[in-house]
Amino acid sequence: MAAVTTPERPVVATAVGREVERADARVKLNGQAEFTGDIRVPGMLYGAVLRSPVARARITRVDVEAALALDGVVAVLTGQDLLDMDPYYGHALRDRPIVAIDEVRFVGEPVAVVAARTLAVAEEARNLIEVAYDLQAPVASLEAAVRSDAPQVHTTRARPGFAHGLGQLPDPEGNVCYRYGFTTGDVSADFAGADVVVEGEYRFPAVYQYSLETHSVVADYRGDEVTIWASCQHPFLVRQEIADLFDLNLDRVRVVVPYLGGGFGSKSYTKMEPIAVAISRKARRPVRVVNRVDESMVTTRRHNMVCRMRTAAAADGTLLAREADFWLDTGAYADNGPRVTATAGDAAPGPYRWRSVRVDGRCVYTNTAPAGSYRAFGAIHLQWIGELQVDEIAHKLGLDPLEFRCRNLLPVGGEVRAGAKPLDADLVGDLRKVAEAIDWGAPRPPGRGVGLSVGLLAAGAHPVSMATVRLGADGGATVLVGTTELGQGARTAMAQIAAEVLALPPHQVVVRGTDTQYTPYDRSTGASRSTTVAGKAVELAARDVLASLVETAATKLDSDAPLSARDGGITDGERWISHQELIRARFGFAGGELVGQGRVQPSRGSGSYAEGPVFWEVCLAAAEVEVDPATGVVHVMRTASVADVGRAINPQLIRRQDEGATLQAIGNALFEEMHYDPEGLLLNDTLLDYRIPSTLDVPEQMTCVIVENEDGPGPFGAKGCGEGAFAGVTAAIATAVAAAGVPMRELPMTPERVWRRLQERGTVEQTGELR
Amino acid sequence: MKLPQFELHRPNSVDGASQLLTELGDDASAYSGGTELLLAMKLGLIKSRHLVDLKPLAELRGIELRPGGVWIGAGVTHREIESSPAIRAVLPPLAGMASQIANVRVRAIGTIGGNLCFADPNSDPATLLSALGARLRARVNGESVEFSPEEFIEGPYQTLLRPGDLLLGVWIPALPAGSAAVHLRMKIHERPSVTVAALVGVTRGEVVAARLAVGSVGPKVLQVELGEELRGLSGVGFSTRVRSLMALLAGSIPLLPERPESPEYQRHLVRLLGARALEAGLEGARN
Repeated sequence: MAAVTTPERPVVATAVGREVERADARVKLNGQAEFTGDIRVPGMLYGAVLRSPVARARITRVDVEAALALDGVVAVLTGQDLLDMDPYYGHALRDRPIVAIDEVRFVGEPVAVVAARTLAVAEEARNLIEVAYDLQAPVASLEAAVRSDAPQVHTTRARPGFAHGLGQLPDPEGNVCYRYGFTTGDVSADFAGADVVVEGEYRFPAVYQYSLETHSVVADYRGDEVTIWASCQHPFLVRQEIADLFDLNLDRVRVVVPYLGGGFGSKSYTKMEPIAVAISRKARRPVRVVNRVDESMVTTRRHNMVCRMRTAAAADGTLLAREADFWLDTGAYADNGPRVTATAGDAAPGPYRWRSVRVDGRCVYTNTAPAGSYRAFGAIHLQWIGELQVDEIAHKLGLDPLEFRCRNLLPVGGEVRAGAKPLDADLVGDLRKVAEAIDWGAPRPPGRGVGLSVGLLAAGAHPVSMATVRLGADGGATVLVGTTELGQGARTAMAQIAAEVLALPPHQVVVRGTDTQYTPYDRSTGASRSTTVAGKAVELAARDVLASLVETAATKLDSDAPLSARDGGITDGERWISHQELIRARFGFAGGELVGQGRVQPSRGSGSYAEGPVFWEVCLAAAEVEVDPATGVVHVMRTASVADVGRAINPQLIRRQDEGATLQAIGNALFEEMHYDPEGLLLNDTLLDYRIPSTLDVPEQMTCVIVENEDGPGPFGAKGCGEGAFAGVTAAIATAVAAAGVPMRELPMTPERVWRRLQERGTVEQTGELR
Repeated sequence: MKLPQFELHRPNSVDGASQLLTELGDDASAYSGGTELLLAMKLGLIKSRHLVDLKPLAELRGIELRPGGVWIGAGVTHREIESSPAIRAVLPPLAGMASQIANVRVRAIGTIGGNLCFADPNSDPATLLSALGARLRARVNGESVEFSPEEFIEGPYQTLLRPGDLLLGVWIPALPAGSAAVHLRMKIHERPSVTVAALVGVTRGEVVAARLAVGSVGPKVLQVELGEELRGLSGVGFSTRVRSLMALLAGSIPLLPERPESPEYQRHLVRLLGARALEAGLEGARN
C-alpha cells in the first residue's frame, strides 16, 4: 500500500465565518475588472436610442431617411420593423413593446434605435430622425390615474408574463393593472371596540436606484443565435425572455455577465437587452447600447406611493387591528410592479399579533417611466408608515415604544401570513440588540430623537438554483453558479462555501461570471437569495465532489472509520490523503477532474409565492437623529441594524451590506426624490439636481449587529441579508424624527417639509428661533 | 457622455491667451480648472471647438500677502486657498469657505477665477468676496480694470467679460482691526441653496460697520451696507434691529425661478442665515 500520509500536509483554516479578502478586490482596485461597457466585439457598432420627448401621444410619422443617409450609419430600427414578430415583453405582464409602436406612453420611451460605426455618428443620426406626435393629455400622477374618467394608459389587456409567480392574475380595472389584498378577522368590530385608533395618509417618493454603472448591453445576433453581454442581475430570465421574443430555442440565446457596477434591483429582469438584440438583428452586426445616466433614470425607478393606513389598539397596550389601502405608481409598463405590490401588501401589517387585518394594494399605470425592483421594495414602502402608527399609539398610551413593540411582536414560529412560512427569526431579541446599540433609554436634549422599527421582507424569490463544482487534478476548484457579482461579494461567499466543504483555502476556489452556455441555471440575483439558495446549490455540488473523494479514499485507506475533508485532503482522523493524490488514484493518470452537481428546488407544492417565502428577512433598525428646528435639517447621528443571517459566511461582507443599505436609506428618507412636471417630464435627471448620499452623509456611528442562530435554510444554517436594513433604517429615521417632535407623513423628509411641519405645529415662532 | 472633439491651445502669456481668444471669438472658451466647462461640454450646453488653456500661465498663479491685503491669482485652485498658511492666518473665513466648495476632487483642479467667470448663481465664493470688499482685476480690451464681484457678475452664467477679456486675479483687503467676517451657507442639493456672508466691525463693543452679501438665491450676489442701520448697537438692540432688517431684506430679495424649494422657504433661510451671520460677525468682532 502506498504511503497515505504526506509530510506536506498543509493546515487549512475553516473558510466559513472568516473575513476572507474579497476575490474581486484587486482587479477592481487596479482597474482590470471588466464590465459590459468594456466589451469590444469585432465588427461591433454603436447604438443610440431616440426617446420620446412627450408622455402620451400617437406616433403619426417616423422619418429615418436623413439618419440613414448619414455616412457611417448601418441601420435604424423603429416600431415598423417589429411587425413580423410578437414584440411585447414583460415578465409580469407582456405589456411593453421593444420600441414604441404607434404610441408613446412616457417621456423617455424608446422610439427608434440607430446603429453606426461610431457613437458620435449614431447620436448625430438619432437627432436627424423626425417623429410626428399627435399629443394627448398624459396621466402624469397617481391621482390622475385613478379618477373614474381617467384616460387609459393601456387600452388592451396584457397577457401574463412568464415569471409573474402570482397565481391567477385579477382582471385589470381602469389603470389598475394588478391588485393584491387580504382580510383576516373582523376588522370593523375591532376598530369599533378599540380604545385608540390612529390614521393618516402618507406619501412615498419615486426614487432612482442609482448604480454607478448604467444599463449596458452588447448584442450579437447571427443566423439563429444571439450572444448577449449584459449588465443584468437575472441572466437566465433575460435568456428566456429574449428566446420568447425572438422565437429562439433557449440554447440559442447565450447571456454572458461580466462584473456589474452595482444593481440594487435596477438590472433585474429584462431592461435594455431586447432593444440591443433587435437592432443587432436588423444591422446584422454586433451592437453596443450603453445608457447615459438620464436614460437609465427613465429605464427603471422605485414606485412612488400613496397609502392610507389606520391602526387600532386596546388601552392595555395590545395591538388589535390594522387597515392599509395603497396605490403604487408603476409607470407606463408593469415591469415588476405586481410583485412589488404583493410584497408591499405582505409588509403592510407589520410582524405583530393582530386580531384582524385588511390590506388592499393597487398597482397603477401612469404616463411616467416604468417602476420596478429596488432593494427592499414593498417593505420600505409600508414599514415606516406602520411603525409611525405604532409609535403614535405608544405615545397616546404613555408606553415605551420598545416595550410596546416587544409585547406585541410575533414570536418565533408565529404566523406572518396565512399559508406562508412561519416566522423564522427572534424579533424581540433582535430589537433589544439595536435598542442597546443606540443607548435607547438614555436622556436626550430637545431636538434629538431616537426611533425603532421592525418589519419583515419576503425573501428568496423562487427557490430554483443549480451549481457545478469542478475539482481539478491540482487540487484547485472552480464553481459554476449563476449568481451575479454586483458588488455584494457573491463570488467571495460562494468560494468560501465550496472551500468549507472541500477543506480548501478560499483563494484556491475560483468563481467566474455567468455564461448561460456553461453555467447551470439560477433563477436570479435579488431578493437576498444568493447565499441562501444559490449558496446551498454550491454547498451540495461541493458535497457531491466530496462524496467522490471519500469513495476513492475509502478504497485507498481500506478503512471503516468515518472520513472527512481536512486540510485539502481526506482523513480518517489519523491518516490523510491529499485531493490531488485521490484524483490521481481515481483516474490512474496525472489528470482528470471531479465534477459535482448541486440543485435546489422548492421543497413543497409549486414553490409559488403564496407558499413562500424561502425565509423572512428581518428589516429591523434603530436610529438617533437631530432636527434643527430653524432650518428643518435632519441629521442622522447614529444607526443600528440587524443582519439576522443564521450563519455569517463572511462577517465583513455582511457589515458592508448593511452600511450600504443604511446610506441608501438616508437618501430615500431625507432627500432623494424624482420630480415630474404636470406633463410627465422628469425634471431632475442629473446628479446636480438629484442628490444621492455621499461619504459626508455617513452617520457618526453605524452599527451592524450580526445575529447567528443557525436557523436559515441556506448553507451551514445561513440566510440572506442586505435588503432589510434599507427598510429598517428608513423607518427608524422616520420614527426618530417623530420622536424629536416632527411626525412626518411624506418622504423624503426634506428640510423644507420638516420646517413646514414644524410651522404647522407651531413649535417655532414665525419670526425667529435663531439658534 | 464623452467630450466632443476640440482643439487645445496653450499660449505662454496672458497677452497671447487674450489675443487667441479674441481671434477665435465665440468658437473658443478659456479653460482653467475645467470643472464646470468640461461638464457643460459633455452635456452639449457649451459647444466650443477651441479651448485656450490658462492653467500653465504663471501670471495667473500665486497667492501673495501684500501690505493691506492678499492677492490671489485667477488660476489659483480652491485647494490652494483652503490650505494656504497666509490665507488661513489673514482671512480664515476665506480658507473655510474654500474648504467647503464641492468635493476635494473639484477643489484640487477648480480655480477661483474659473468659478467667478462661470458665474453659476448657486456658488459660494462671489458672495464672501463681496462681503469682504474684494476687487476683481481683469484685462478688458487690453486695459487692466477693477470691479467689485457684484459688478463683475451680471447674472446667471454672465459676466461683463467679452471674448478676449480675462480675469487676472482677486485683491482682498485685510480685515480691518476690530472686525470679523462670517460665511454661512446651506446646501440641500449638490450646489448651495443659500449663501450669506457678513463683515462686521466694532469699536468698544458697538457696531461701526456692517456689510451683508447674499448669494445662491437670486440671479446675482446682492450686497447691502448695513453700517448706518446698525451703528452704535449691541446686545438685544442689535439683535432686534437685525431681525427687522433681515425680514425686510428677505422679503424683497429677487429669487431665481424654478427652484426645488419654495420662495417662502428660501426667504426664511435668507432671513435666518443673514441674521445668524450678522450675530456671529458681531460676536467675532468683539473677541
